[in-house]
Amino acid sequence: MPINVTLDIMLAKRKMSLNELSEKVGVTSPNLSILKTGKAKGVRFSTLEKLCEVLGCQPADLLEYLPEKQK
Amino acid sequence: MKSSSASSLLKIVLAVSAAALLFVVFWCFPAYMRHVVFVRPDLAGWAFPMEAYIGLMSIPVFACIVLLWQVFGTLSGDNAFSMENAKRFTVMKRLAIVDLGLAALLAAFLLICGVTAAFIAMCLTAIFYVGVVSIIVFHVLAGLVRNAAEIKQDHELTI
Repeated sequence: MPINVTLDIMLAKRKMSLNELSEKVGVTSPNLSILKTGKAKGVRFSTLEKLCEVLGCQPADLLEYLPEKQK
Repeated sequence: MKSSSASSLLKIVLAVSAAALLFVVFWCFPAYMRHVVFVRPDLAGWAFPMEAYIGLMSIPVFACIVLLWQVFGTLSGDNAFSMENAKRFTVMKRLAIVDLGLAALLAAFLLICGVTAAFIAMCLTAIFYVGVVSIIVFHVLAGLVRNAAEIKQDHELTI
C-alpha cells in the first residue's frame, strides 16, 4: 500500500513510548503496533483524532503517500 | 440461536446423514443386488463390482461430511468466515465433481451394457441432480465465505 504510517517518527519526536501512547489514546498496544508497522488496512477517524490530540500534531504528520516506485 | 447450539444441531444432522449413507451403501444396495441376482442369476458376476463401485462413489460423500463437520466446528468459535473454510468448500466442490464424474461413468457403462431399468435410471437421475446442486452450492459458498473472510480481516486490521 502506498500510504505509510509515520507514527514511529512522531513517537520519537515526542519522546513517547508505544505503551504510553496506548494508555493516553485508549487503543491497545498490539493494535498500535499493527498501525506502526504498516500492517493496518485502515485507520478510523476517531483513532486519528485521538492520536492527533495526544501527539499534538496534524493527520498529515502521521500519514504520508509514497508511490510504489519510490518505496 | 446461539452459534454453539447451531453447531451441535448441524453436527447431529451430519451424523444422521453419515449413518443413512452407511445404511444405503452397506445394507440397502447389497440387498438390492441380492434381489437382482435372485431374479437374474446370470448377473451374479455383477454384484460385487457394482457394490465396490457404489462404495467408491460414497468415499467423496464421506469426505464432504468430514469437511462439513470441520466447518460446523468453527461455528461455535464464531470463526466460520475464514480462508480455511473457503478452501474446505472448494475441496468439497471438487469432490462433488469427482462423484458426478463417477456417476456419469457408471451411467455410460450401464447404457452400453443395455441396462435401462427404470429404478436405476431414477437413482442415477437423483445422483446427478444432487451432484450438480452440490457443485453449485459449494462453489457459491466458497466464494461467499472467501469474501466474508476478506471483509472480516479488513475490519480486524482497521484500527
